[in-house]
Amino acid sequence: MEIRRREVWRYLGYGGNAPQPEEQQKIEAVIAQLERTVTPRHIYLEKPCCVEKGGVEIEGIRFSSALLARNLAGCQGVILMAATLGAEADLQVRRYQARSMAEAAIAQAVCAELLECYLDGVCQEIAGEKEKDGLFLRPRYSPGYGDLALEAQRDFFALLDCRRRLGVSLTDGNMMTPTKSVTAFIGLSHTCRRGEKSGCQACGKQDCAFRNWES
Amino acid sequence: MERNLREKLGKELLFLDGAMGTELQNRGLLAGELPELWNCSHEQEILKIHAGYLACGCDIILANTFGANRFKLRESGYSVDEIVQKGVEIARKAAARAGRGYVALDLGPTGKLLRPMGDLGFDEAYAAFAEMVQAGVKAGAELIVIETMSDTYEMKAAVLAAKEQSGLPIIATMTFDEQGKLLTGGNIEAVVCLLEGLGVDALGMNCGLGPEQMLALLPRMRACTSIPIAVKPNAGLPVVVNGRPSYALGSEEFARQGEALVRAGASVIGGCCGAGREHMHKLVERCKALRPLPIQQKNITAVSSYSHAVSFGGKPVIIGERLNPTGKSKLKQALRDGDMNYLYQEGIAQAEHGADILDVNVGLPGIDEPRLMEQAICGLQGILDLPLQIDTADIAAMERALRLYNGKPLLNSVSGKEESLSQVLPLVKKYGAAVIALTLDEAGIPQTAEGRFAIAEKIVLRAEEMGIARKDIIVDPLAMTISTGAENAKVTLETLSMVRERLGVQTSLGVSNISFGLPEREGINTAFFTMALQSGLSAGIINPGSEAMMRAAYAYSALTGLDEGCAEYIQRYANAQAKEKTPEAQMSLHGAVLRGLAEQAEAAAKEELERRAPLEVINEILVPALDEVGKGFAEKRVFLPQLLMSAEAAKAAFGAVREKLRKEGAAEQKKGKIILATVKGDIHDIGKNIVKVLLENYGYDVIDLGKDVDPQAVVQAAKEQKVRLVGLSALMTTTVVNMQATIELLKKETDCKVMVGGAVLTQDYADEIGADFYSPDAMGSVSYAERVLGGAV
Repeated sequence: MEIRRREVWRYLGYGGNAPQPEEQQKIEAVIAQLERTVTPRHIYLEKPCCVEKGGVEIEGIRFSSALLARNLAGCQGVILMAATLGAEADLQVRRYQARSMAEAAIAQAVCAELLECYLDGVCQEIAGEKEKDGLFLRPRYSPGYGDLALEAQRDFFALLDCRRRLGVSLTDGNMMTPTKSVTAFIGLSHTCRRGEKSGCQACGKQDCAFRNWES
Repeated sequence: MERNLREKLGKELLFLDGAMGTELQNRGLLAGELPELWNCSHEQEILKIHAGYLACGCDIILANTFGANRFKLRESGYSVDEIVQKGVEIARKAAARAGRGYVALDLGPTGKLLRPMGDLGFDEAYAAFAEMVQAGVKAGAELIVIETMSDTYEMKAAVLAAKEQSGLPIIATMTFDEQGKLLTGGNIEAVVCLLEGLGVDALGMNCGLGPEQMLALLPRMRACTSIPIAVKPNAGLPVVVNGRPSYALGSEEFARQGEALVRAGASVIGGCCGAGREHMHKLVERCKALRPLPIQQKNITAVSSYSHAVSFGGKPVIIGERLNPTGKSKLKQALRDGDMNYLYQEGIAQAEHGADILDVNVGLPGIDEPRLMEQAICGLQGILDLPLQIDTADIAAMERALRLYNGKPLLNSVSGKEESLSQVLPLVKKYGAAVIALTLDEAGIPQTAEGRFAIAEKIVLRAEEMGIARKDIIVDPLAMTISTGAENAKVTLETLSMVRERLGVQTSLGVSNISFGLPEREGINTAFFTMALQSGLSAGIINPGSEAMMRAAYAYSALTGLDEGCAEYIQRYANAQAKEKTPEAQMSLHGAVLRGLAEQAEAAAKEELERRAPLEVINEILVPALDEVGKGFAEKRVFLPQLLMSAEAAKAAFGAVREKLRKEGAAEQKKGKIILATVKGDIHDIGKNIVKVLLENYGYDVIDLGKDVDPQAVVQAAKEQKVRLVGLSALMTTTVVNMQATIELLKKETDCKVMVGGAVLTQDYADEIGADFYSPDAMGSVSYAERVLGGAV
C-alpha cells in the first residue's frame, strides 16, 4: 500500500502546492509512525438488492436515497463494506494532539489517505474476483453522502454487524467510533460503466477547498 | 441439586451451553431483531432451546439476556428489568424441569464503545451492567457469564458491576483474533492480568474463532493464568452463504477439536456461533469422561494496560518518575492551570525514552486531587499503551483512579502504618491491584535492614490475611541519601536481598534519592542502580530521560543474560553515535517562528530576553512573525501544517517569556476569555483544537470545554466565567442542529457573540442558525476575536 503524498497534501489544503522541507519532514515522520502502528481491517457481505426509484431495499430494509439508487441502478447485488483503522489510529491522533497540533493535523490527513488507499486495494482485489463472474464494481457510496441520511448507518450496522465483527460502533449521533472508519455500498452489475466519474469528480461541490482536479 | 459451583470450577469439566442466536435464527429470528425480546414473545421457544441443551448434558445454561441492556432496549418498549428477569426465569424453569443445570445471567457488550474510543462513559457502562445484574440476581441467577467482550475497559465495568451487585461466581470471556489480540488491541496477557486481578472465577475466550484457532492460543493463556480457563468456540471460522456469515464446522469435528481444547487445559467448554444442539450433544458425549488438567499457580507479578502486561522479576522494569509535581515548577503550574497537555507531553517523552510503566502523581496543596487524578489517568491511558502507577496518598483520588484505570493497576503505595494498611489494602483487594509497600511505619524508617524487613513482612502477612496474593506486593526498601548517612546505601541493599530471598516478593526503589545533596548525582545514581539490581531490585523508579540510567539498565540485562544475544542492547545503542544531534546554527527568533522550529524559537527567545523586556519580545518580534505567517496563510502562500508549526514555535517562545515574567514577579496579561466547544453529539474536535492553539498564541485565555458538549454546559460556563465570545465547531450536518440549539440558548441567556466553524458549514448556513460569525479557516477566528475583544495587550 503506497501512501500517495499528493493526496495527503490535498487533504492538508496545499491545493497544487508542495510543502516546505520542514513540513515535508514532519509529514514523512507521521506517515512512517502511522504505517508502523496502524493495522487497517475490513469486513464485507454481498447481499441481493432491489433498486427502485428513490431508494434501495436490502433484506427488507429500505435505504431512501435517489442518488444511491442512481449509483446502484442495474445492480442485482450490492457489497456492504466497512473498514477501519481501529482504535490505535485514534490513540495516535490523540497522542499527536497532546504533542503538536501540526502533527495532529497531518496525522488526520494521513489517516484519511491510509483508509482510502486500503479500501481501494480491497476493492481492487474483489473486482478481480468478480470479473471472473462477469461482474463489475460500482464506485463506493457511503451513508451521509448526498441525499442518503447519516441515520442510514443504523440499518447498515444491523445488516453488517460492524460492532462485533469489526469493533466499530455508532455514537448516539450516528458517528462511527473508532473515528477512522468507513462504511460503503458497492454495487455489483453485469455492465461496466466505463469512464464513470468517481471520488471528487462525481461530486457537485465545485467550490470545495479539497477538490481534486487531477484525476 | 448441588450448588457448589465454585468448588467444581477447575476440578470438574463443566459444559456451558451452545449458541442461542443460531438456535433463534433457525426458529425465525430476523436480522436486526432483538433476540432478547423473544423472552416475552416466544417464551416456549426459549424454553425448548434451554431444555435441549440440558438434555445434551450441558451443566450451565445461559439465560437469553446477552444484549438486554438499556441501550439496546431503548426503543423496544420493554425495561431491562422485565427482559432480564423473564430470561432468567425461563432458564430456571428449564433447569427445574430437567432437574439439573446452573442458570447464568449472560452479559454481552453494550454495543457502544467507551471513552475515549467512543462516547460511552465508564460510569454509564457500569450502571447499565449493574442494572442487568440486579435484575438477574432478583430472578435467581446462580452465576454470571460475561462474554464476547472485545474491550478490556468495558469488561472491567461489567466485572465490577457483577462483583458489587452480587456475590455470584463470574466466568469472563473475551473475543480474540487469530493472533491473540482483541479488536481494541489488547493481548492475552493483558486480559489475564486484568481478570485475575479483579478476581473472576474463570476466564477465557469465546466467539470470533473456531476450536482449532482457540487451541493455538490456549497454551499462551495457560502459561500466564492461575485460574480455570473457559472456552466457547464458534463452529469454525465464518463463511458467507447467501449474504450471511455461516459456520460450517460439523458437529463430529467440533467435538473432536473440543476434546483437544480440554486436553490442552480448558476446564469449562461450550459453543458459540453456529454451535447448536447437535454440536453440544457430540461434544458432551465425547468429553464427559475427561477431567480438566490441574491448574498451576504461576506466581507472576504483573500489571497491565489496555494493551499488554508488564511483569516483574526478569529484565529491570523502568518506572518513569517524571509525572510528579514535587520539585518541578512547570508541572506544578500546568496542573494548577489545568493544562493537561503538559502532563501528557511528559508522559509521551518518557514512553519514547523507554519507560515500561509511568508513575502518576498530581498531588498539590489546595487542589481537587480526585478530579485531577481522574483527568490524568483517563487522559494518559487514552494516548499511551503503558501501564500506569497510581501515586497518591489521597484515598478518594486513589479509589477513583483504581476504578477508572483500564487494566490491572499498580498502586503507590501502602506503608506499615496502621492507617495506611486499613485504608489502602481493601482498595488493592477490591480493584485487583498490585501495590508498592514502603518499609516505614508510625516510628519512621528503620535504620537497619532487619527493621525494614520486619515492616515488609508485616505488610505481606496482613495483605495475605485479606486475600491479597503475596505476588501482588512489591516492596520498596527506601533509598536515603548517602550524604547524611554512610550506611544508607548498604542498609537499602541488604533489605533488598532479604526481601527477595526471605519473602520471595518483587521490589522497587526510588533510586535517585540516594544522591540527594551531592554534586554530579548521575554518577552515584547509576552505580547504585546497578548495585541494587544485583541485590535483587526488580523495578527502578527513575527518570527515563537520563540516558546514563537507561544505559545501566540495558547493560545490566545484557551482562546478566536477561537480554539474549544482547539483542535489545544492540538495537538501542548500535547507532547511538549517528543519533547524536548536530547543533543547529543560531537562528533569529523571527526566523525560527517563520520556519516553525520550536526548540530554536525557545532558545532564541531566551537570548532575546537577555537584551529586551518581555513585552518588547512579544510585541516587536513574536506578534509580527505570527502576523506574517497569518498573512501568508490568508494569501495561500503558507498552508495549515506550516501555520501550526509556526504557532507551536511561537508557543515555545511564549513559554520562555512567561517564565521570565514570573521570575520578575510580573503578571501575564491576557486579552480576554474565549470559550471553545465541539457541540453535543459531535466527537470530531481537531478543528476546534487547531483554533485553540492559534487563539492562545494571540494572547487569549481559551476555556476549552472539549467535545460532545451539552448546550447548557456552554451557557453555564459562559455565565460563570463572564465570557463575551464563544466558538463552536461541528463536523456533520446532523450535529449542526445542536450547534443551532446552543446558539439559541446562548442568545437567550447571555449576550455572548458566537463564532462557528466546521466542515459542513457555509456563510449562509451559519447565518441561518444565528451565528454572529462564520470562520472558513483557522485564522478567521483570530481576526474575529480581535474585533470582538480587542487586539492590543
